[in-house]
Amino acid sequence: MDRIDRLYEGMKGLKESPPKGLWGVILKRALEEERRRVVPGWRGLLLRGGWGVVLACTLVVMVGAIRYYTHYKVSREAIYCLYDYDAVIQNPLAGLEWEDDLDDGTGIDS
Amino acid sequence: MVEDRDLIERLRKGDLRAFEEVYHRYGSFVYSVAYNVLGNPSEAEDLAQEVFLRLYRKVKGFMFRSSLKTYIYRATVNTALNYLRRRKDCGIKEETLKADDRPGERWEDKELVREILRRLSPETRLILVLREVEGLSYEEIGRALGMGVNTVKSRLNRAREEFRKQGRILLKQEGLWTG
Repeated sequence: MDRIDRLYEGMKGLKESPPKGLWGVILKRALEEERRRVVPGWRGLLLRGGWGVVLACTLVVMVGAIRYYTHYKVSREAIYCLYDYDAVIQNPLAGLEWEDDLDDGTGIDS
Repeated sequence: MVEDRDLIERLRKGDLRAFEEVYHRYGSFVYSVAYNVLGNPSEAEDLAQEVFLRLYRKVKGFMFRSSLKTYIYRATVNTALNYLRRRKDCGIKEETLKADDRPGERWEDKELVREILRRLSPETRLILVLREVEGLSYEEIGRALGMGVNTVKSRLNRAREEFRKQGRILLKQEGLWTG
């Protein structure tokens, strides 16, 4: 039997045993999964989904914020287009003065 | 000894003692294959955890198309190959085999065997580990790898040749070749 044969036979001695704490780790993780499976409602969803749920919520909030902001901005710009905004700010009732001259048909000045 | 089928039935009902029994029956095989194929104790532990947790998750759908033993063998083999595919070099991680940076120090035979295995392709390493380290029969290897007995025999012959070839190269490199 040459050296290579001896090395080949040496493979039989490579059997390894798992470390002592491995079963404990597996059991802990299995119990954790079981716990996640049975918790109901939002808490259960968060436990099951983990960061996925957090990320999804963040995305929804972000999309909502962008949509709200763009809508608000468009509305504000529309107002800028319709009115002389600075004048409105300085005298908010300026546009309502015409009501004073309104003839209500009673013959009495208001 | 409790039959695998009974263990599965109990495990389906959430009996953790049955899960522990499964681990004690197959944990050593899973860890040993993982360690010898991946060559790294921490990855071997991760792989063992993955195999047993997957069994725990999927046990309710276990259809008994194969035995629990075959299921564990296949799961171990597939998970090990996935780990190796994810790892770009497909070799055993260097930090576990540092004989190269110990010039002048004599190699232990065990280290030499591990080094030769490291130099083989993952599939070749795997089939040798299943046969020579774990002592599986040709039929069991065939079921684990999803191939016929004749294919297993021819692959094993090629694997042995490759082992000898790499062994000779290593011994010559280290100045240990006397043949």
